[in-house]
Amino acid sequence: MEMGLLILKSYLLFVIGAMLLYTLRHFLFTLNRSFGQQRIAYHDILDSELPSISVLIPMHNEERTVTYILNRLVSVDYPLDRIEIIPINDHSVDKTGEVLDYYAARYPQIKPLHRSAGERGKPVGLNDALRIAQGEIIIIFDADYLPPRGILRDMAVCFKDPEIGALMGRVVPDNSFKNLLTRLLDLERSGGYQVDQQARYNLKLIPQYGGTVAGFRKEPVLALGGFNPKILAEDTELTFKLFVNGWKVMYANRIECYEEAPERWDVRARQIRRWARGHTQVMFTYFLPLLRTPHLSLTEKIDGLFLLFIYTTSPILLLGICDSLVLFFLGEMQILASVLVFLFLTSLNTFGNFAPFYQIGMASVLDGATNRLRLLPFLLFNFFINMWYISFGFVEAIIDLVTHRKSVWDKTERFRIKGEKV
Amino acid sequence: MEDMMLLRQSFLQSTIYLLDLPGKYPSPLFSFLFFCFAFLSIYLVPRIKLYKPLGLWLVFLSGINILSSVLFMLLPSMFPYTMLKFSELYITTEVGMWFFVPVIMGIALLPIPAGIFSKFVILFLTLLYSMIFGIVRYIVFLFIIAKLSYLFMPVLYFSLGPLVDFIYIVGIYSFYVSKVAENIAQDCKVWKWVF
Repeated sequence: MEMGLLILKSYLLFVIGAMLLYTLRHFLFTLNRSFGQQRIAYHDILDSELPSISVLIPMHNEERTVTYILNRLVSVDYPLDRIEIIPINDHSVDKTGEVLDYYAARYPQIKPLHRSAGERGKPVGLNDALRIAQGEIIIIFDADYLPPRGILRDMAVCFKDPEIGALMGRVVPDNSFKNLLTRLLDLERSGGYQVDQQARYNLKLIPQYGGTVAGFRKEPVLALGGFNPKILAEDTELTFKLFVNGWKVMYANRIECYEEAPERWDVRARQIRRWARGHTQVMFTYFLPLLRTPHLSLTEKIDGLFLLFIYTTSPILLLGICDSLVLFFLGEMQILASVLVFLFLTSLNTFGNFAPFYQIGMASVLDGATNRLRLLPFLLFNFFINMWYISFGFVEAIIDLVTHRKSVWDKTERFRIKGEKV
Repeated sequence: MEDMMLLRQSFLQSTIYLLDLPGKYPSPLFSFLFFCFAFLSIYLVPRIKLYKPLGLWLVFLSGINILSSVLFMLLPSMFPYTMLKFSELYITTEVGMWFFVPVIMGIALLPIPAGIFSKFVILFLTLLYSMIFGIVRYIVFLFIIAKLSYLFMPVLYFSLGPLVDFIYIVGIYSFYVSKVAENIAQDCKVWKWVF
């Protein structure tokens, strides 16, 4: 009994300790973004010698969104002889394929890849597209994105830096006005990009390649084996694959692109569960390579570990709550009551949302937001969903590891009104 | 409430005051009915169209209620709390809160581009609110437990305890920061360091 109690209490202290480390990390990010020297990307450089690019757009049943993104991509200001657009029609059973063929007949730069055999999923689709892509630089957009006219030029010019293996732009929801969920996701995204990613880039840590509004060099990625089809978070996988092999990821805060945020909680829950599962798969795969690589400094490795373990915070917290419940019913909470406050106040409400409220607050100030800041307390709703479904995803990743089963890609449902004019 | 007593106790090199009053154990029938209600909630809440985060929260609370009612049905003597012990738990939690509120608010307000005086005012107001709210909540908790039984003690502590404090702390912070953002929105000089 004594030993059991000691374990329970020790675990609670471990949870608080782990969360304190994350609190400190995010506080440093917030301070850096507020007072530190800012590194900017290279998007302001004007260069007539632009690299050839292939824009890949993974699509599975995207008839609601396909015209929106293609209309914008055919009107970008990138030289036509240096661009190809490869929409990856991945086992769609709706009218996505027909729409793509219609566009391909009118715009020679659009070269759809129709996939109807083999496995479905973003990593395998990207691997197939990489084999036929002609561009030196690969730019990726998810199908719900609305790329602005100058974005490809801004992105491509960043690869003039020979150290840069991949580039990440900023994601901004365009449907944040829809309901409370989309508004909260807007806040969360703001904290994640405006402060977190920019601070990591400022501090030369590990900015994350996010798999959309993103680009990478084709040759090194192919040389490193492309994307692992068993991993659901191909973006996190590429981040670590590049860093452990000596490449850098650049974050460009000014390269903004609108996306559609999930408008229903069940859709969001499935999305976050898939992210957690994929990210945890990456954690198992890259934990040792990250520690062993000679290409990263100690601070980069430490930040890499924080990033690898970020999705473990939810199951750790969930267990912490269960632990505190057991201790409560055993009447053993007296000494821990004061520290429990900290558990509830900071860790619990902070890391279920990936970014602490003060980081999101600072990001919103930087964005010039006013009224949306008043929604910060409602992040508690996100916390419940995130903690529960991230824990599910984490457990699924452990089962994947043990059983070597195949992961099935669960596509995020779209909400946009179908059929913008061609 | 004539049996209510005010007791002194030392805590962290100082003295805290605790209220003690007679508690009430639930009857086995009441515990059983409460168990059925909680069990039914866990079954029904995911099946009805309810705001998903709220549904998850209700399931969590129902889980606590099931644990609590099972304990009072089967082993009421094992329930480790008296009113005095709960008071002690609550007050130590609250003292922890009053210690952490300035720390958390200080961390949160430090990078905000506003005057130090207004930050101190907000910090002080948050602490004051925390103290008043903490005392009112203490009285409400004791009243509910004394009138309705110990059965509700766990769910009160875990639902309206420290978790609720997050809401007003972040609420006050967000209101203040939104006002700061409004004030500086017109001043272009402020934005020169943004990018």
